[in-house]
Amino acid sequence: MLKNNIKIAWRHILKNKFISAINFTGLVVGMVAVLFIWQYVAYEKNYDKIHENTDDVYRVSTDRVKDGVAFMKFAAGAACAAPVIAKNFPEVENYVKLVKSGDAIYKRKDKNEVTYQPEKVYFVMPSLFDIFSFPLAKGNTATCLSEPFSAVITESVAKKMFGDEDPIGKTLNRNNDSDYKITAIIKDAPQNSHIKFDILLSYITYSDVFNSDNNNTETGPYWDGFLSYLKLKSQTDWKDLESRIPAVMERTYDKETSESVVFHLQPFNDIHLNSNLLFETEPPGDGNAVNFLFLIGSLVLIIAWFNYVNLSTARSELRAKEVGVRKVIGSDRSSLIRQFMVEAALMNIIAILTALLLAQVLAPWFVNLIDKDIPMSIFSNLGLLSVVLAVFLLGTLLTGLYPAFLLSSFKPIHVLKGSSNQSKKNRGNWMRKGLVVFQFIASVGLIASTIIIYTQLDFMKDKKIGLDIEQTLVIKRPIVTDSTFTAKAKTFRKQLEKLSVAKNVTNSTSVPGQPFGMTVGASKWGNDEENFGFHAMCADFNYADTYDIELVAGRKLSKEMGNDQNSCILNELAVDVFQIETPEEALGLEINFWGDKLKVVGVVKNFHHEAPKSIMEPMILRGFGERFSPDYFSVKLNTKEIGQTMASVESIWKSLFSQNPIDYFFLDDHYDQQYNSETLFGKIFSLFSGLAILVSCLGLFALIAFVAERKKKEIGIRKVLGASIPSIVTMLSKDFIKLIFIALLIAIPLCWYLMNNWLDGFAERIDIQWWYFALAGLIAISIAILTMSYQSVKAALLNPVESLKTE
Amino acid sequence: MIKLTNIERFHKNAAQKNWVLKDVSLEIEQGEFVTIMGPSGAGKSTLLNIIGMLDDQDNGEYHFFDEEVHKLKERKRHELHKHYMGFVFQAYYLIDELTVYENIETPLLYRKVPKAERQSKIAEVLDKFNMVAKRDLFPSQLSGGQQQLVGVARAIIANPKLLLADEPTGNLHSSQGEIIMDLFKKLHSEGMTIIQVTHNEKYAEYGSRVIELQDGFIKEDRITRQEISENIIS
Ligand SMILES: Nc1ncnc2c1ncn2[C@@H]1O[C@H](COP(=O)(O)OP(=O)(O)O)[C@@H](O)[C@H]1O
Ligand SMILES: [Mg+2]
Repeated sequence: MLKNNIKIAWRHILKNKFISAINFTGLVVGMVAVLFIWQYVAYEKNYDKIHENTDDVYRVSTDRVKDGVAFMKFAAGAACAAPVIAKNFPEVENYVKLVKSGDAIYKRKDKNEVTYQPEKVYFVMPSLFDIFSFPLAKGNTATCLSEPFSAVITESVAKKMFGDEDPIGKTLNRNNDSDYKITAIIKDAPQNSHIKFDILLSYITYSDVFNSDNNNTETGPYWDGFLSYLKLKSQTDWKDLESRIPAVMERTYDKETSESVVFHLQPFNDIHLNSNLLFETEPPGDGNAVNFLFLIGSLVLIIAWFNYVNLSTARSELRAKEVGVRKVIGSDRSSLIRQFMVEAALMNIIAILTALLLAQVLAPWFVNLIDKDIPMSIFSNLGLLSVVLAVFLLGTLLTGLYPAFLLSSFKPIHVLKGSSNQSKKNRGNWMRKGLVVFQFIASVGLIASTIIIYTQLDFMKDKKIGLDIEQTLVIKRPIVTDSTFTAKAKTFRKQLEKLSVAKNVTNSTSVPGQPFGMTVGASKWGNDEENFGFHAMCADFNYADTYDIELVAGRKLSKEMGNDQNSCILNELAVDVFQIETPEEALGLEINFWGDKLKVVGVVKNFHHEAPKSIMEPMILRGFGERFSPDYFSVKLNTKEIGQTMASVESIWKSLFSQNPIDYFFLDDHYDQQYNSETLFGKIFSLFSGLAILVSCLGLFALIAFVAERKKKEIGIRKVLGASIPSIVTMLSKDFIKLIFIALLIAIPLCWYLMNNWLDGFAERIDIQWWYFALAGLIAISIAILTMSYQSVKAALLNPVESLKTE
Repeated sequence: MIKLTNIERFHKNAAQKNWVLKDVSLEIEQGEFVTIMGPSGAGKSTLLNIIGMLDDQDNGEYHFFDEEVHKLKERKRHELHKHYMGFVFQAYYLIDELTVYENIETPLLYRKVPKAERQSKIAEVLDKFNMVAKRDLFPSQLSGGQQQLVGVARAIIANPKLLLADEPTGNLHSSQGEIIMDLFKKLHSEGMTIIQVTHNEKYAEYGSRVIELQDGFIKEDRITRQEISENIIS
């Protein structure tokens, strides 16, 4: 019987080539979309899943609080966090701390010419391997990080620096100043792990050697930059534990500390998608974006399923005769249902096999598009296999059940008599209209959302950021330096100034698009109890001019005043933080900046040091003091011709810092990289919206073709009676136009609500304008009319003699 | 075999009842070959469909063998229909997507007949109907007469006790019609009970009894001349 069902199903597919092709194309497109999106979502949702038993692992984040308001939130927080919590709460089984080690060049001790500049190096406690499951390749995880000056490297670093040699026991030299013995090799962590590293150095080196003069590394509440992870006993009520920390802090330190340094626990598995704090280990994922994309990927498939249901029920009159006959010759309802289900299953299975193949072919292209190293191992992935199975089963049920029940309900007497029992025949009509409306809600909504997303992106990129970042070349400081660096930096700066293309040159510890780099608790001089939090950076006198920052009061830092080592500039937000009424009143204020007495000489307008998607922060811009040296050299160019410029810059660099490769970027590109994730989101969103709209138009195309076919005779008669072609086109499409308008009415509030939510994630956002929807509606209707007009004009142009004859 | 008592069938319109069958009582014995005649709209098809359990009477009693059909549930009636009845239609109603062989096979599939038995039965019927060469053709490749032969073959393949035919020759040329009628006669002689609707006086004479319907009433119920002469001979 099943064989028979399949045979008949196959013949039906072949016989109705047009409809089958539309169904097939829609399903394949939808399934490919779902396969891709699912891979992406799985990648994001399986973040950090290489570690077993992380259900009881929490990261401690640190809030700096002033007057009950957290003005800074650190992912890598206070030095004392983990030790203090672990000491006072028996629920803590174990903890690990990681501290990032600055950029450095590593050399092989035995082969000086082999150098490597890793991206991520941490000082790490040995407990890392007890809490997390980084797979070991060689060595002993229990002992590899217990001695000072030990290093653990990843397999790829081992390959790069040692080739086929065995690195264990060999020595790496860091920046010509310290030597580390390699004790173990770790397998490379997968891309989707938020703790990534190239080299791990033993934490004891950091705490007991480099900071041997103080033991603040374990007790300092105001020293940030320590990633702290706790492993709690299972079943611990972590929220309760979290709430009891302030009391412990007060006991350990004092009331003020307990109120200004507040710790929070973050469940380990939530970190990637739900944590966006200062000093994250990497740009965090966007849980919202992942959900959005999952939604619209599924939408494409749902629309394709609806096409199938629509076209099957629209054709039900044609199948009715067959149903009647089969019932008369002995079929019961269940075998008819089975027949229609088999047809749906066959279509779905053909589509999903094709989709798998196509997804495999297109995978490199998709990986490239989303710019993430997702393993697209479609045929080896068990999770994906279950998705395929689910898509198949769900698809078969959704597309098969309704037509099956509708069609099998026909009474043979009604269909065979050919008497038109209109109410029965049109039973699929309401459903069909509903599904078409749904498809158009989706289409209009997606078009409008695409418009809104791109408008927001443009808005952010065009936003007056209060800085001029055009035509700016930024050169990073050399990594390996010695005591001559300060002098050499001066020379370098001078030589850059001499370049004919250089309009302005400045040194600084940060540049726009980079984090400020320093966070400081500063107070009015002589009033140390009142401590406020600021972002801070050092810059020379030329910074405000180079970046064209607008002065509100006072003056800029100045060369004449000996580079203003003991002066600083505030932004307007900082003036507010000091609770000073006007910028002018702030001038002359003396503040305590890590023990330095700085005088406020000027106030500048707030500017977006980081992209306007994040909020502006109170900032102190200070002159270089003794203890600071420049991290960036910015050159404002007076030309776009950079070829020649780069050659001269590089030759100056070589003459001064020959040991180091030059590392530079153009600031506007660099700044725009902050929008990478939003731009990517926009790209994927518009791609899948396009697919969704394409699939719904396919469905519409087929539906109108079907209507035209059924009304062939009526059209012929009308034409004989003198109807014009436009009037026939109108007759055929007006029902659908009505549906589109209904869809529009539903889509607008829905889309408005969802997009408003999305926009709320931005510090600076556009307001949704009514014309976005007008435009979206117009586009949807135009596409629909274009789709329909082909079929209806074709029908209208048909020679009436032809169409009447065929009856 | 069939006993209809005071069968009524009507369609409710907005205002009034439109009677299709009114007070029809009728008995048909096993082995009879009954022809229903009457003008268009007289209710012939309706009567045939009620007997065939495709349609329900609104009033009256219907006994089929020992079953009180008027009291049966839909499901049970479907079982009776499936077990006892074969249907032939004016418009053939073959399934376009199936070959001749498969069309004939379908009723057997619904009755879960094993494959070997299906094959032998279909081979036998194809042979009897002279259709062996056509077995793999699709309905669209056959003439009307040939299609109706397949229709009859499909109706009898599951050995029904009762063959119902609603104007089986209505779409056929006379020569093709005669082939069908000869076939009916042969089936009848082999013991099949047949009820047919026709407008053709001549074809009515193939049967044993004619029921004349008019406006939902039985106007006349008579033995055919053919039957009379056969009775005289015997
Ligand atoms: N669904 C229906 N609604 C209203 N009237 C119907 C319906 N079906 C059949 N009829 C009417 O019942 C009458 C008998 O129909 P039918 O049995 O097909 O007649 P016949 O086969 O003798 O030509 C006709 O007048 C027809 O118009
Ligand atoms: Mg009739």
